[in-house]
Amino acid sequence: MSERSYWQRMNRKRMSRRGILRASARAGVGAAGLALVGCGDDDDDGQAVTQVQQQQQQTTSQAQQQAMQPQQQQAMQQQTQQQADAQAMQQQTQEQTAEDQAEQQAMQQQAMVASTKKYGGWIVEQSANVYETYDAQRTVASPVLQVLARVQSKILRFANPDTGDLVGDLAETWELPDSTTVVLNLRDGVSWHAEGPGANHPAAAAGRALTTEDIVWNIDRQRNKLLTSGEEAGNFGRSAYWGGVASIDQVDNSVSLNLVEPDATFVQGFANEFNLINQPELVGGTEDQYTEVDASKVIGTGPNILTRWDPGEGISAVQNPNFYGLPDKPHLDGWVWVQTFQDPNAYRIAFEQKQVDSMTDPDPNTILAIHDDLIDETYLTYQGVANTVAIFTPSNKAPWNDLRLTRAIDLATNRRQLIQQLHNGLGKVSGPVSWMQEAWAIPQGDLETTPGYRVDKDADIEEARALWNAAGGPELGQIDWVTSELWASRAAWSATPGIIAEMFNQAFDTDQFNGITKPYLEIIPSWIAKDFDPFFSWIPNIEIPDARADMIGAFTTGAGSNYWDVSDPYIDETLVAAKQELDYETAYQMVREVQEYVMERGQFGRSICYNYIYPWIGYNYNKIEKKTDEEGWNFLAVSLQAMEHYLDLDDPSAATREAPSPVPL
Amino acid sequence: MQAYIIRRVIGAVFVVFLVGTFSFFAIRVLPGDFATASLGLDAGSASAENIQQRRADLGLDKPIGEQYAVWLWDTVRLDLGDSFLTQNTVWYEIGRSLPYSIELGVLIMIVGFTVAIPVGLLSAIFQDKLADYTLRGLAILALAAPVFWTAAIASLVVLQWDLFLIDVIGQPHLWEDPERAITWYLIPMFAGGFAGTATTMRLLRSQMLEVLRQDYVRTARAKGLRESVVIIRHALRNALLPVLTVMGVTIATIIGSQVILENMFNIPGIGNKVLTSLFARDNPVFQSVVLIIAVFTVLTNLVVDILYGVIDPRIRLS
Repeated sequence: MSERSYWQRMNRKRMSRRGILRASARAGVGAAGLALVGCGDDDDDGQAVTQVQQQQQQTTSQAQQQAMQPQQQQAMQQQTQQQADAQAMQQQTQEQTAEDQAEQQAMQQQAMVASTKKYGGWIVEQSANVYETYDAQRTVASPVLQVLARVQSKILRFANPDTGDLVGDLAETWELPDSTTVVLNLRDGVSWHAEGPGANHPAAAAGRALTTEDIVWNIDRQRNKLLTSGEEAGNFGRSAYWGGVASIDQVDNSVSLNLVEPDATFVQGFANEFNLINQPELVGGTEDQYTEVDASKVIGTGPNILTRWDPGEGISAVQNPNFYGLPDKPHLDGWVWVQTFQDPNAYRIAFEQKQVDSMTDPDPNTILAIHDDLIDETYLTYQGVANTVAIFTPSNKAPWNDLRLTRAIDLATNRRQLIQQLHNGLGKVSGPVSWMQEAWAIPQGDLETTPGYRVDKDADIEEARALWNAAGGPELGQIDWVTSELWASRAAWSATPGIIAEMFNQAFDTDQFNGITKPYLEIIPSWIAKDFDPFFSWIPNIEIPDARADMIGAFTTGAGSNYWDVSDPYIDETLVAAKQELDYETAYQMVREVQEYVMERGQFGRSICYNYIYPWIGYNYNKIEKKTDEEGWNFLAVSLQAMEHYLDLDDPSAATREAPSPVPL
Repeated sequence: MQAYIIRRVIGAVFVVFLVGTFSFFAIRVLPGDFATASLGLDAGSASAENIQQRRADLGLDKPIGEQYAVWLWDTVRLDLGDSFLTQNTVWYEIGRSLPYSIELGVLIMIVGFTVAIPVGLLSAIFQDKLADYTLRGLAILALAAPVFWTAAIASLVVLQWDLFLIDVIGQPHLWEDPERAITWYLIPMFAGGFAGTATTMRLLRSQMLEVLRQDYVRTARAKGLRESVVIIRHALRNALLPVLTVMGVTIATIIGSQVILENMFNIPGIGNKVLTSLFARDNPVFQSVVLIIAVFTVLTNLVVDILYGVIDPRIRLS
């Protein structure tokens, strides 16, 4: 990977207000999208699109159209519309900046890519081995989404998961008539899977039309944390988010959500990959077996129907013949997931002999070596891991409540060194907002001169040492710095406890720091109880690109994830205002100011370090929408892949590929 | 003889009990459990209440002594429980895996013994000649080269020249698709076979050299018997006796190498199950599979010991 260009690209990834405008227009969200950004009008766009589309259609010969398959025709029409859309928008925004023009070009290129998309074929990938449950609403473990996000739908989904561009899914459009109301206009003609193991389950209502009651049931279930039996369950992972809904009204085919308070981030949560919509009859009827994973307990409205789900053996899904996106999407006939390869040798054999279509490995060198060997047949993509890595200091109790100590630790943390030592340099430093939430993060270039993140680490160390000594750090005696055993259990990271201890010992010219490990089961409860020892670990998964909710959760008085008891009126007021602010630039500025304020105080003990990335390799015939040649999506993008993923079996790299054997409907 | 067998059986049961107990505690000493392993990297996002609930569902919240007593009583009744991972019974999981392990194990033994015996024989016949040095060199290489190294090199050679399909996804049985199965098993069976060959070959060579110097061999030659008859009928049969005694050890080595090879070639056998269940902290499967391997190893050694006792009366008398 070209590190220079990669970093440069990341530095300019902050989304512009125009970017949001265009995204909203492109998504066809109408008034709702415009309400989000405060102004605009899409009527002109629509007219221009129609005119250009008509011209394009006239120039297409009838013979060509006849030769095309219906799906290809549909794709061509959509491509024409996308091109026209892009062109119309280009005319409309003549005064836009050079950056905006570059983004438009990228959009046009995307439209051109769409023209080459093909239909049919099966993708074969490695699956996770362990699935906690088949109910995405009752877990925080993301592997389940690899399967379910292709089978079930959400209210909205991301067109671009990194910037937060939204498109309709079960809700075709949505509106924000006032600051506390969200109206979801459900798509017509959506039905639950009519075939497959899930549809055949006695509890399932196979083929039934989706109703507003289904949406209400799913929201109520999560915000009330209640099972069908009336029993309360503590494992609804998004209950805090849905708790933002005060009441729900149903009118015809629309659902109106009345929010507890104004929340500009709320709409994006509909597209959170975990917010999949379950069928009340089936999921409600099997709630007592929710950890017993198999295909017969899963039904959805999504592009695929699950035909097999045997953890540790195999998974298979076929195209849903009644999917509302057809004939345009999805492109693939289905998916086959094979069991996890315990050994890289088996995975390598499977990939090199084209028994699987893609590969990744915890050791990036393996992937880079294979890519070098198969340079003409494969391409490489880097993807971020949403579990942000951080140093946690218990600033809520003595002695760490002296913010000089917390600040000293934050300054002494050598983030760039950790990325080199633990991740072969594949990662990027993150401020209080992770770089993965790129529209809200402090750009990498700015961080290079920010204390704690400076490239010139000596300056950080000098300042850190002065603070440490001034606050009586040397008198603290031995300090055990904990690393989670789950982290240290990975061979490549086993030396982490020692590395962390050594990092601080060197920074403070001492031998006080001692690296130890503890199980998660010990760390997490103590963390939640706000009685934890200093530790190094991941922080909970980032689930949506909008960082405001995460910042509020971590730093406002009494918030759920404020394990450091931060209570600062300035932070409270600014973040609450930012959450309600509909203008992106203004909201960004507020969040940015809070980030800088927090960093000046050693991040109050929640010292975000970095997010690492990992390489992913695929054959050229295995086509996935991505930002550039080398960048994959930062966020979970399975829903997007379910729609956009396709195979080009005419590509030379597909010559020796053997068709997989899926489980049919 | 009966007392000897009873003594050996009691010893074998005790060994199996110790191994089972060890595996029970070993997987619990490791960091994490299935409740956290099933969350993977997202474990930090889970609430403590959620994890505790999961542990309670799986019975992992009970005192370790109680868990041990339950496991012991269930095992005695041959109730191995259900897999945390697949929810299938452990017996089903073992039934699905065992045929693969038997196939590979038999193939490894066939390769091992068909190579070891002729090579040991030739090496002894051509003692201190070029053939002897070459074959002994190869045996030392086979001893020195770890099985995973041999298998990895062989895999790279196959991939580099695209020699044949190693069907790590299809996982066909020999009786289902012999051609695909044999190309899939080819590298592991030779890598495992060669690793097991060295000890047997070297032992056989030294035994042959000793036997060939015995008076009865000289007598056989003096009687004018053909050299092939002398070697095979008189010398080899006697030289093979000590080889039988190390057969138990060899089989244990083969099982050990199978754990590695099954994972390297995605063979869903018992060896694969050991690692999969270990990484997933699937306690019921891990404990049971280790127990099955122990029973198999102990039984093999028991049979060898009894056979040796039958062959050599001095053993059973002692």
